[in-house]
Amino acid sequence: MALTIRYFAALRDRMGTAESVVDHMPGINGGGLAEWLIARDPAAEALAHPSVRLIINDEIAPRSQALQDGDTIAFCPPFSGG
Amino acid sequence: MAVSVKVQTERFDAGALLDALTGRDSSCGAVASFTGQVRGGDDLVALELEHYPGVTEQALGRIADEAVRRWSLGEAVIIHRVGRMAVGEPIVFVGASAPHRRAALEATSFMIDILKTQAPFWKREHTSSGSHWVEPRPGDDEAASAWLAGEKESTA
Repeated sequence: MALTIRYFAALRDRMGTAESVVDHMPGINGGGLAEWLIARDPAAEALAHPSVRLIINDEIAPRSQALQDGDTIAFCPPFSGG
Repeated sequence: MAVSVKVQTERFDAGALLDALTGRDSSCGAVASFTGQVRGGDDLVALELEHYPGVTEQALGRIADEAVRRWSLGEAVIIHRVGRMAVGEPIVFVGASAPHRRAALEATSFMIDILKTQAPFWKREHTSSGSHWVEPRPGDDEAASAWLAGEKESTA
């Protein structure tokens, strides 16, 4: 099992990919995953911005939410519909 | 109490949607709606809307359900387009029927305000010189926060 990471809109452009899969890291939360991604790739720095929202398994979730094996985490720029 | 939400690429007819809301529920004396369309200017050629399939529909359903609950609506409708749209084309339709006008007007306002900050849509503007993602307006957050904090209370 693993974590599936999705990027939308401007963040997808920034990351150069719509989706990636990484091994689950026991004890990690959403904010921790962002930090881990930034450490691996400076292009991911935008993920740390407070305006970026996380949708974990289809629900808007705080960065403090612990991640479980098999979770899908979407990093979302501020919504601009309507 | 009926709720109808849809995300689609096809253009919609706001007049037909409004007409469908009218006269369907005899307990409702008011129907209100809002239609958002692609605003021209700044060299805009087209607008492109992206969303998070599945999550978006769920978010729209919750927004419409909440409007029905708060204002005791007869019906609530949200139609939002995705894909590429030309200047002047409709983007979003929000409509509500209610026993009285204040409820219908407030519910309509609530749904579009909340949609802007709670539903995962993203706009990209295409101009003759390139394209860029649209940043939300600062007022969008304030409008949604006011509803969520109860500053704009239902007076229905």
